[in-house]
Amino acid sequence: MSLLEVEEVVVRFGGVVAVNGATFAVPAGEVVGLMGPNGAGKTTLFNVITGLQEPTHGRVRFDGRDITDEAPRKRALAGIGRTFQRLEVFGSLSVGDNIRVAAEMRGLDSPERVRDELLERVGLTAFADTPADAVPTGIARLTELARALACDPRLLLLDEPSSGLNEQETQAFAALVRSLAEDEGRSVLIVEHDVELVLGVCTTIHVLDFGTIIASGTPEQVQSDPRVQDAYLGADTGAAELEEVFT
Amino acid sequence: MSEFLAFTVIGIVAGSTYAIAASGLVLTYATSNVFNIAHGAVGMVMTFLYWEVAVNRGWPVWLALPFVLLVAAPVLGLFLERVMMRRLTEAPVAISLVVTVGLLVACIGAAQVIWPPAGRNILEFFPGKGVELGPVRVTVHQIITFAVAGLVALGLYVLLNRTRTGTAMRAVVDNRELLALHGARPGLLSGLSWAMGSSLAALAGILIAPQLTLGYAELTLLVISAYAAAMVGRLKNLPRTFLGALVLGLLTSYGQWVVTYIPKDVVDASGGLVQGTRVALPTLFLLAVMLVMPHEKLRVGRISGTTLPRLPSWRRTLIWSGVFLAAVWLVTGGLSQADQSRFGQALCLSLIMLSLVLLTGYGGDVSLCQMSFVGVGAIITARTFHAITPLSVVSAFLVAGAVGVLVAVPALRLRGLYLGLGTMAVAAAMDNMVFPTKLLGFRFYQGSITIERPSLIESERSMVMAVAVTFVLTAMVVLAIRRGKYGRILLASRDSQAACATLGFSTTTVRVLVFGVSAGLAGVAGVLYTGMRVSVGSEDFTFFKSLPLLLFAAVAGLTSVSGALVGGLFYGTLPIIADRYPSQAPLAYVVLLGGILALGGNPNGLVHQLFTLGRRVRPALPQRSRDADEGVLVVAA
Repeated sequence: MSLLEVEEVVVRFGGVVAVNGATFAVPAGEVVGLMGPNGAGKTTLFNVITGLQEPTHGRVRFDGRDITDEAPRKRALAGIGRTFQRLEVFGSLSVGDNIRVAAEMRGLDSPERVRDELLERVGLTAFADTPADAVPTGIARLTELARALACDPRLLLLDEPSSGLNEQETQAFAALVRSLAEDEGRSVLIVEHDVELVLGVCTTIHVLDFGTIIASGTPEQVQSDPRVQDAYLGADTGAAELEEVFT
Repeated sequence: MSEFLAFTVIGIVAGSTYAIAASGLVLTYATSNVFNIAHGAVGMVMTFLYWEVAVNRGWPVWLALPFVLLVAAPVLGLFLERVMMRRLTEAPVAISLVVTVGLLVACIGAAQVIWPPAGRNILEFFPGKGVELGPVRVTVHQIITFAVAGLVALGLYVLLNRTRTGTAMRAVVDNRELLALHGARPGLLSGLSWAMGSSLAALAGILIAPQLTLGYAELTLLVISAYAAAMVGRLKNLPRTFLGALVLGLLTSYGQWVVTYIPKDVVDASGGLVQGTRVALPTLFLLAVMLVMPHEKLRVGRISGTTLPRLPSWRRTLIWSGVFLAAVWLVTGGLSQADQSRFGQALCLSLIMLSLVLLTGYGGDVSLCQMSFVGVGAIITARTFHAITPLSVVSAFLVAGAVGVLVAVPALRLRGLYLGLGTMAVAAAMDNMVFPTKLLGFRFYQGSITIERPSLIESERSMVMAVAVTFVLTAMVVLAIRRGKYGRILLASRDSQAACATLGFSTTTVRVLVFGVSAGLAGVAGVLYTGMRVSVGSEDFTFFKSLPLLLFAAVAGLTSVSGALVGGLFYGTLPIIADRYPSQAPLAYVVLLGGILALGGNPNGLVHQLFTLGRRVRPALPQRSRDADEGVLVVAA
């Protein structure tokens, strides 16, 4: 049984269908990628999973339990953590305090130790005392990641975590995500546009277009899927151009 | 039956006025994201202007009415949008609310200067004319009011749903930039809506004025009824707003009817409570609507531009505390006893503002009823201990704090703007139902209360010092809170409630708690304030006293202890400056006005700006930019 199961989720905003019957699962200890053009419904799905958006139809199950009607807070306590595409750092606090306060909100024993360990882990020790409002996007994203990790989530949702990181930082980030899954057994669901990163860390990829999952499979299968090629490049373009995009 | 009909007619007509006022409120809020708490005040000024031209100068109605509704009011609306509101579209709720509070205070001040208190009346349209509707007589003015509301509803419907301008107006709030790309002019559109909103406020004021004496407060408070109606439509939906207005009008009218059946001895025994409740019916309706409103969704999208001033080290805090106390000692030495007392009162205001630092500066919630808490503290002490004692201070803290928690209960469901406006309703309710009554409030003491000073304190100067020491100690408590775990949690829940929720933390408890602590501190300040003044009356703690308090605190700086200190001294001494050095007074008002306008760009206030002048040249850190993110997406996709 998978840790997270999303079943036939539909989200409508007025007349616009943002998510149209998406069904997929995230098995325990795996890194799953969610891809798709802008506006495909990826962030909306994240919001449905974390409870910030009520789905029009469909169910979300976590660890075998139906959590569709649960408050965001309860889901977080059950072990779902996330980062945000549009940053939601605590801007009045320092980078270090962003992590510390998460530990404090959870009532953990030594928030300072959690902070120091996680700062080290995501490589932000140098930024510990910098106000989170004043750091570059990439640093803020890593801050959000560390903050989410402070709550020790079983499932981590990362919304475009690498935008704002340079190549070197992206590689370090990929290694971090892999270790989250392989060494600690966490599940990760990742929305990402950096194809290389997605191919490098994900075991399964789902491609979303106009709110519908149009392809699922291993990175290799998804790459060669003609529907994916259509979605990204329009119906008449060939695989050659897609190759370019994917390499 | 005929009574029922009569009260129904009254209710429908009152509802029509509320609907006109409320539709203007919704229009401006929906297009500019700024809730104009001065909506009623703008209507008040325009109604006075109408009185000026139509009654005082004797212009004919056909000239006076278009002059006010089609020239003066729209021009004022356009002006306000241009100089004040446009920059507030993305500002935190606390800031945009404070700026409109400034507008409200300015409107009342201007009206009092231009039209000094005197008996004024505006007559009905076609006075004395009416028709018999079965057993009930309906005046032409009532029919006109109802018809005008219908025309406004129809006109707005056609404008918003059937014209390009209306469509663009509905779009402007969603995405100004995008709309601009499509060739529309967002500035012009929100300007247009403010012009219309201002006209509608004026129209409502002129229609309702014949039933009221032409007073500053009564017409200004029309905003509460308008807001109550608009709340039914969640400040967005016009048809529901009209429905809400009608229900509100009918309920208040039937409420009045019910009151007439309460036996006279019960009314007398209630010590003014029945009368107060009658007046407060729209407010109670508002509170009820707020309590049954569905849960608000968590909003993703962090508020920006709210970085707090740096936290001073303990050493610095101690040094400055010493300097401050020494300065107070020196300054009071050179003052007359009366001035010492005034200075002490100003310090008390600073103390009250400290409670706002905690609530608004750190917590991000707005309170428009802080003086009500101050009043609770004062009354409790006057009732029980009659003097400033350690026990009376503690009991004032606890009782005022408990009231604060009660006020914050809607916080379980509401956030930001709605909660802030809820405190307005609380203040108005207490103005009518608590302070002026005999059972709970001031009338028990024939209008005023006194609190004895401790026997240790013999001179005015030592009382001032006692207040100063209390300020320093309270400031240290506030700073200690900010420094600690709860301070971090408070700031985090202000910055992003969505992030808090996804970390498994509910911000509700912490927000209710901070409301309680803040109210408790205000209650303690109330004890000292009353002790300092020797005697206070119910009018010292009204809604209209809470507004300048918030305003001055925000202008000086709600996010720092020094801001509270300066804010209180500024607020407390302004009347004295204006009194003694009339030539300098305009300067003080210019500073205040400049401070209000600057809030849009710097929510930390003037004091912070002053302190950081030297630190402006900071190493430029790379700015996070949403555009840059977007750019990455486009390239990758």
